[in-house]
Amino acid sequence: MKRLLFIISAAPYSNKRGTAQLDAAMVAAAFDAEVSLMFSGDGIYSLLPNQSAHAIDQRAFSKVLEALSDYEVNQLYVCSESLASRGIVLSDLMPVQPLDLAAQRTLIATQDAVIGAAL
Amino acid sequence: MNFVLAVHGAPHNSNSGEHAIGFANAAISQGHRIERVFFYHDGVLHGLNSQVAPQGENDLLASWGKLAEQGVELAVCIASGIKRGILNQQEQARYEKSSHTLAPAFELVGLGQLIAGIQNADRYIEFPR
Repeated sequence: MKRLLFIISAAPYSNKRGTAQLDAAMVAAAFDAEVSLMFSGDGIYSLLPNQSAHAIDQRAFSKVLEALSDYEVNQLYVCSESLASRGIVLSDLMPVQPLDLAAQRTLIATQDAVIGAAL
Repeated sequence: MNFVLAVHGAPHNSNSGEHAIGFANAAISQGHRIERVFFYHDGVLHGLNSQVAPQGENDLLASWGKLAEQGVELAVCIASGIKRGILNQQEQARYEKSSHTLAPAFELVGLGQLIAGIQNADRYIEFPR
């Protein structure tokens, strides 16, 4: 079983990159990969609960994230430096594990492939 | 070594296509194998058949065609592709559109082909937007 890490670093709703990453992550899980998701940079805004995406005719990112557990994708991480620089605390977000940069390096080093690192 | 590449950027906006083509040619010339290039997101526009390269500019479609002749599979994500109008004959018929638009060297495949490719490859290299 391959270990695949998907990195989401774009803010939700400004473009479709995060959504495309989630679609790929779900397919990977369906193909029996061991999937992890890492949110960093403006991508951390994807983790805010109670998003009113219907107001702009979009699929709510938070709803898609909730569906991930149905695909047995339970390894969700957030960059703690990105949180600090944006003044967001962990309790503001959906359940997710914070990782500092050193821990992110370790996580990346244990993966077979990293997908969307520069998206 | 066996590589799978992914191209995420549109031609003429991003340089991801040029970078991927350059990498693929260099790798092949050194005896490596490029099993598949997977086009995802705006990258699917590389497969648009009706592109006309202006004089003096890179003819990316021709470069992709040369890679295909060397056994590189050019795989366009069907979900990303059809919503951007990249249709093969089958999808043209299914959605009753006036023409098909996928260039001959390319094929439409499911996102699962990307994952399967990554699982089989020695290295997966992504060329972002």
